[in-house]
Amino acid sequence: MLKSFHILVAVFFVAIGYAEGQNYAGPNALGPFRIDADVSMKSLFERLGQASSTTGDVFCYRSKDGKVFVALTRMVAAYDAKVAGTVTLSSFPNCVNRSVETTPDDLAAWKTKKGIGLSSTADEVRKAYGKPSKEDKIEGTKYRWVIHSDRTDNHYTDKKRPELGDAVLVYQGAPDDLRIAEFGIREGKVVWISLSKNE
Amino acid sequence: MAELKTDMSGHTTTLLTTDKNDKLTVTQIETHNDVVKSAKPGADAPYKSDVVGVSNRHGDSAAYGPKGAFIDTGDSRGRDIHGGGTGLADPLAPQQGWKPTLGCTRGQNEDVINLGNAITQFQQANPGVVIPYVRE
Repeated sequence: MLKSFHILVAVFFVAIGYAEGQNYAGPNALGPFRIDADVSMKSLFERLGQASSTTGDVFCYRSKDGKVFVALTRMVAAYDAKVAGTVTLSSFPNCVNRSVETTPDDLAAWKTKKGIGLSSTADEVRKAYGKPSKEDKIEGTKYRWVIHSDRTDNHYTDKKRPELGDAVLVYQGAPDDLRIAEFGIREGKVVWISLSKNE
Repeated sequence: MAELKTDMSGHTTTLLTTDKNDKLTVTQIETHNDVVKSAKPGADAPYKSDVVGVSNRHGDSAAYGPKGAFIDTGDSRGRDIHGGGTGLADPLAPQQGWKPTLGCTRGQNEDVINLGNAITQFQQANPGVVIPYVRE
């Protein structure tokens, strides 16, 4: 009787999960940034150093040794533009044609709670977070957005961007959950990570 | 005279303009208003405002789309009309796909650019004439 009840409860929760769609299984944090809570732009500016101008949506930093780069993006105004919405960490410059500040922060130490960071392997990402929602190929103009402002006349420049890698491991939830984590993979290793809760 | 209207249940945004000869021009695009649960209260509510016009203050942005794909509706809460979509593989593509919002009205990039061009054209031909906006 009790066993039947347990089976019934299990079936019920599986059914609910199915009805609601896929649950988000990716990381909720990368360094000081979180997508399961509001992190103020002010707190990130305090940590990374004040940007030369705090107007605009995107703010770019590089580490002192010039090996790690991070771009912060504000949430949309319809939510709260004082909150950080997207963080993109990379082992190559991810902002062109815009100012990039040098930060004293140790960007190489920015990792997820499960220790995934730049130079982790794709297998380590899968081991930490399970099977991705999607494994995408980087081709054409897909994922060119990772390098901010790499456009002229409303088109991407002709420049090839092999630094973006060849594949992306994507973790996302149900359609009404904006949280998303993307790991750019080049030669089996993570070369960029983007975490977002923005629309 | 001009009027901009978003029909949230009908998934359209329509600009109606008439010239000095009363010739009517209709510019209609597909738009969506799927607002996520994490949005602020009232994010998906109807509202009325006066259109400011196309703005490039967000530049090329994953959340808002490419330059020209952002129409400032004059809403004090920033629930504007735009393209893009963070998390889409190519949010700046002409037809980037769909992604829910935190209260804004989303269209495909090339459609929003075309609608914005029609708004700009009207504003340039009729300086000072207000374009009322209604989202319902």
